[in-house]
Parts: sequence; C-alpha cells; structure tokens
Amino acid sequence: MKKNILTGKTVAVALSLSMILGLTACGSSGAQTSKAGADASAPATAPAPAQTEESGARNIKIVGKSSEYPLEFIDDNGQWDGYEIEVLRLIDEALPQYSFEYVEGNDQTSNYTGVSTGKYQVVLSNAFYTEERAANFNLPANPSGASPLGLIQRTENADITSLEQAAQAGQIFSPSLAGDGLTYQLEEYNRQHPDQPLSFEYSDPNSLWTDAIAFVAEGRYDTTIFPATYYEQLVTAEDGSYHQYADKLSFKATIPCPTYFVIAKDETELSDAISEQLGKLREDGTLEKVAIKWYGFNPFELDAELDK
Amino acid sequence: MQKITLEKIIYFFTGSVPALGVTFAYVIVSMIFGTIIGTGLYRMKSSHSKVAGFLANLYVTVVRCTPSLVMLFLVFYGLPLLVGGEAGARMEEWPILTFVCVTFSIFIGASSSEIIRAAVEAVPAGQAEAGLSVGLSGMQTFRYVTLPQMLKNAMPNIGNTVILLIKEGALAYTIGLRDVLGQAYYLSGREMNAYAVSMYIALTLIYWPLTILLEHLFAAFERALTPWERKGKRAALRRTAEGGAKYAG
Repeated sequence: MKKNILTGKTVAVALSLSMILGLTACGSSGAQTSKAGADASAPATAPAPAQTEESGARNIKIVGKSSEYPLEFIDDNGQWDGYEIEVLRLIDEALPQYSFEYVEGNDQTSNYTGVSTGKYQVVLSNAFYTEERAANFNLPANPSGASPLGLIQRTENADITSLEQAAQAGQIFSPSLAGDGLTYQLEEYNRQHPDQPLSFEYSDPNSLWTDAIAFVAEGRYDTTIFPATYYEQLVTAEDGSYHQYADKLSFKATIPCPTYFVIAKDETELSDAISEQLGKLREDGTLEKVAIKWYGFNPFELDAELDK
Repeated sequence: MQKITLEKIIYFFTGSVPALGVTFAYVIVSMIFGTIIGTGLYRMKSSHSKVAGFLANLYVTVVRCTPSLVMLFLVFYGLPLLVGGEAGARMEEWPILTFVCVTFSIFIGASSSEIIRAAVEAVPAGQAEAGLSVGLSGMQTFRYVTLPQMLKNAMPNIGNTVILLIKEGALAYTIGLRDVLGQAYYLSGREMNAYAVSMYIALTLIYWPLTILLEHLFAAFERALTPWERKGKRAALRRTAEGGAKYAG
C-alpha cells in the first residue's frame, strides 16, 4: 500500500509542479508571449524571400552578427543588409547551384565553432588572413573586401602611426580578442620582433574592439589597432556613435589588409565558386562600388596605396 | 566616459521588454521537461536497483559539474554531430530556442530530482498513515494530506530555480537567441556599443522587478498551500495576547 502511494506521489508531484509553473509563467507573461517570441526570434533563421524560391539548389547557411553595421546587420524590417550581405547576394544570383541563407549568431567564437562543426558553411566577420584560419578553414583565393588598418592614438601621440613606433615608445595596447584578425596583426609583429614586442593582453567580450576607442580617449590604454572603414563611421562622421572623442583622437591607416569570407574546411567547391565570382566582381569594379556605398570611401584603393 | 542618458535607457528598456516572451518560453518549457526528467531521476534513485541509482547519480553529477554555457555549446553544436546522419542533419534545422530548451531541461532535470526528493522525504510517513487510518483512500490521502505539504516544501526551491533559469538562460544570446539580453545586445550592437552602460542599466531595470515579482508570487503560492499555518499562527498570537491580558488583569 505504501509503495503505491509513493509511486502516485512522484508522478502527481511532477505533474502538479509542471502545471503550477506553466500557469504561473503564462499568467505573468500573458498573451504577448507567443507573439513576442515569434517576432523576436524570427530574424534569427528566416531566409530572405529571394532565396526560398530557388529550387534544387543546395542550401548554404551563412552565419553573421546581426548588428555589425555596415558589414552585416538585420535592419528594422528584419532583413539582412550590409556590405558583405550585398556582395553575397550578387554571388548567390550568379551561382544557381547554391541558395544562401543568413543565420543570426552573435558571438564570434561561437560562429566559428558552428562552421567547424558543420552547422554553418560560411562565417562573416570582416575576417583577415591568419595562419590558424587558413589551416582550419577555406579562405577563398580572392578577398571579399579591403579593411586597411591603423593605430588610434590620442592627439598628443599622433606622430606614432606604425606598430614599430608604438613598440619603441613602449605603448600599451587595449586588450585584444583571442583568435581575431586584429590581434593576429599584433601577434605576427611580435613573432617577427621578439626583441621589442608590443605590449597587449587577451580578453573576450565582443564589444572589446569598439570599447577600445573610449579606452584610448580616456587614457586607460595608449593605443589600439583599428580598421579604417569603421574609424571613419564611428569617430570621424558627425553622427558616429563615438564622435564625442573625435577631438581627442587621431588615426592614420598604415597597414593594408584584405578581408575574406571564412568557409568550412570541407567546402572547397563552394569556396572556389565564391572565389571565382569575387574575382569577377572585383574586375568589373562592382566590389569598389558596393564598398563606397557602405563605407563612404574606396578601401580597395587605400589598401593598394599602402601595399606599395 | 560613456554617457548614461535616460533617453537611451528608455530606448533599450522598451526595445528589450517584448523579448521577455522568448525568456518565458524557455523557462516554461525547460521547467516542464526538466521536472519530468527530475521525476524519472528521483524514481531511479529511490528504486531498489543499484544500477538505476548509479545512473541517476551519475547524471546529476555530470550535469552539476558542467557550466551552463559549456552545456549550451555542447547541445547546440555537439548534439547534431552525436546523432549524426540524416537525423543529425534534420536536427540542425531546429530553431535555436529548441536547443536552448533541451539544454536547460537537462539542467533542471538534475536540480529538480533533488527538489522532489527533499519535498517527498520531508513529509513524515506518519502523515499518510494517519490519512489512511481515518478512512481516506490512497488518492485522497495524497491529494489532501501529503501533496500540499510536499508542494509547500518544494515551493522555495522551485522559485529559486525559475529565477536562476531566467538569468542563466540569458547566456543563450551567444548562439543567437534573442531573449531579453540578446535583444538588448542586438540594439546595443546597432549603436556600436557606444551606450552599453545605459543598456546594462535598462537590463537591470527589467531583471530586478521581474525577480522581485517572482519571489512574491512563489511566497504567495507557499502561503496559499498551507492556510492552516497562518490560521495556526493567528490563533497562537491571539492566545498569547489573551493570556497576556489575563495575566496583566
């Protein structure tokens, strides 16, 4: 008899708890729950309408951050847009065998993990060449864009524009994201200059590289390495989110840097197809036009000048 | 310093609050499935089978030792690989919210098995025996004697688990879930994180009242489940007061 009661007890306890919790939470969230849930999560996996109409094409999942303006972002209407998205849409049109789907993923480390485990085929991150990326992923032979780099300095240090000068002056760099292309530039410099290395630490938050603007302006760190494409928009532009620091800071691009779509290691065919289209778009001047539209200047031209 | 402005706090607050629906969705689903898993684990632990007991304890230990972010990544990236083949490929099509619910159901399963064990064992066997001895049936004894006491014992722990889940679940922004934190990060990213401090203040203003509300709600449930305790307390107070008055008189 006692055993039967206990058996019934556990089942009924579980059901009662579940029901109470369900009712509790439903009661406090109300009818809004499902609607808000659907709205908020909708952009995460919803493919753009153009991609669903292609038939027989292999679906390619491309993961990117949803608020990486002007590179890739989800606009107020829930649609993906930005420089890399526009370039990819042009490539998608030219490749009938593939259909591109854009997926929201908001942590860079996590997005790269997704590509290496096969959940996604391509990751967008304004990616620079790094040896680790080249070894573990497919980097198309043709770059997707150009992102010339330079040092952000307080105006009193404006004459320090190269990594060599920063190392000589003993400047301390703001913390860098492990595995990131910007960090790789510093690591590569230190590999080549072991006698006078740059001073920096590793950290993790996604907002680290934009936080660095304020860190340098406020004097917490001496300098940071930064893409020219973003500096123009964030600091120089009058409506830039960090324009308040414009008078305190100076920036000069000195390092040429091509960017790549990072493709899964076993997707060589896809990588080659994308690379071929990137070559064509570069040749006919389309990439430059798209870049000027989003960045306000031609980063390819600046990159080429710096490369000389 | 980043400027903290009321305008931006309101912007992040109003922009993120609608995503509470997503937060509630994973909390409700994870609590339901977690409780079912927890009940199974409790049954295994309390059974006479040593193997079942060992497996249940192993499950609880493994889950307890795994940080929730690690578990989230293991489920999101590892589970489809583990399943493999076509089923694994189909799993890749699941919405992110499903992976989040699976992760936290696994988590809640471990903790709820302990909550259930504590709740059941805290009710003395004599309570059920007393119910049966006065002629109640097994179900009646459970419904009117043991269940209210068990729920009352479990309620503080359930409340803590729900509150913990709301906060732990926010980690799911890393895999692209737009719950409250994910939505706030999205809005902040749109502004290149220039007003991140305002965003964090707005998040605090969402999480604080929510947690306080839940605390009160579960305390109210606990009181509602044991009305005799309040009556008993009132009666005891009255007796003390009367006794005091008599003594004084």
